[in-house]
Amino acid sequence: MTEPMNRMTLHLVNADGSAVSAEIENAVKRAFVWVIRDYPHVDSALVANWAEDVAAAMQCRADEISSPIRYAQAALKGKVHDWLRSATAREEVVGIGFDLERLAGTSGSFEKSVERHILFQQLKEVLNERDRMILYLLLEDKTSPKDVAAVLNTSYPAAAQAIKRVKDRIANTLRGPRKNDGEGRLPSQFCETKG
Amino acid sequence: MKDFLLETFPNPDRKGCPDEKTIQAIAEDRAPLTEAVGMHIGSCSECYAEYRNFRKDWEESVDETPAPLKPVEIPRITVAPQRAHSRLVAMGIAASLLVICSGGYVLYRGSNQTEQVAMTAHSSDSQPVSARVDLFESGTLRGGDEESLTPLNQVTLPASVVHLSVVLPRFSDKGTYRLNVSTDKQGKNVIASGTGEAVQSDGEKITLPVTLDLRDAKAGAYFLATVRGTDNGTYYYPLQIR
Repeated sequence: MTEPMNRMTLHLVNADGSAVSAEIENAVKRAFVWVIRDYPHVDSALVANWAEDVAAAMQCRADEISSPIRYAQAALKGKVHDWLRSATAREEVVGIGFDLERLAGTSGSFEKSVERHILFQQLKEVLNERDRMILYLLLEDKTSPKDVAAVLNTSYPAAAQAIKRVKDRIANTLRGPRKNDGEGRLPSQFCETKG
Repeated sequence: MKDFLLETFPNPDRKGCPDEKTIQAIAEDRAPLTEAVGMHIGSCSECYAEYRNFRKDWEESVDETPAPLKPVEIPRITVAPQRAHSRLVAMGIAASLLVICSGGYVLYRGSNQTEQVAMTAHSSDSQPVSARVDLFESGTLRGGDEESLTPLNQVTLPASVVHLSVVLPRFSDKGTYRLNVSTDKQGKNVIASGTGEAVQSDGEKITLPVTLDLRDAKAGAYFLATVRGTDNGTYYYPLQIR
């Protein structure tokens, strides 16, 4: 895959060929960089074409757009998703199909996508809003109880305990259905059968 | 786990989302993360994605900023005879430039006749400086009616300890005066103050000797106020500290 295209390679004009407003230009350029970053396996030249389309469309309805950056990103992401869906539909599995899919970044494994979905739903079930905020802080390398305590307006020991609880809940979920949580209970499972 | 936050909480209508400027400020460590915003980012895939992208943009821009140069020890260099000549030429040019700049500065000072301060000495901030301010022919600002009395000649003082000799305006009385330097005309924010005894010195002129410590003052516009001890009569003059 080629390197991401530079922001300056975008030719952002409206339907008449005039340059779009600076606000729209900045928003689309930023959205372009973000989408290239989020979808490194998608050809950046394709994304650049879509970005130019998005910029022209945004200029037509500039007055209606309250947040250009959010609009541009949502629109560009939507185009990528559409393309990925249609590209997957056109795929033909051949002898080295798995490798091709892996290189292209598309997951042809239905089972894997289902497993992933189930795992995420399980995590969603065991992590409340506060836990998810702690998870978000941990993922941003704010792993110290001090950082968490500052955001939650709580004490250091309470923050440390909250972090431990989140880690335990995630670990219990990732370990699988037959591990109990240390208190004799099984973690709630999404596909658990009864009887 | 990042994918969990990025995929599990779609909010395409962006309901309840903080504006992107708030998320950008948090991502760039320009604003503190509050509990409410943190809870939202952890429960909104769009906001989390936005946060991550702003954060990466910012980190990349920081990485691109050149790091400050480390101080290096300069080795002693013995100048070879054939290079001594070029070094002397360079020193000669530097000396010439110094002379030209000094001459220009002297000419500039000489032409600046409107300045009322006569500096009798000039030294660094830590050294006391003597200055004379002549307000004999000056108008005054009293209270808030400065608009009717402008323009006034501006007094300029250095940001040092200043031994000031103030010639008070015509018809001023002798006696005890306080001299204030403030940022406002109401005298609420006084940054330096000194008291002295005004005496008749030169014919009808009344001179007030006072010492002001202006070392903590930043360069800029201030007000110089004379406060007469007997009736607290206060007069303001525009002051520039450099």
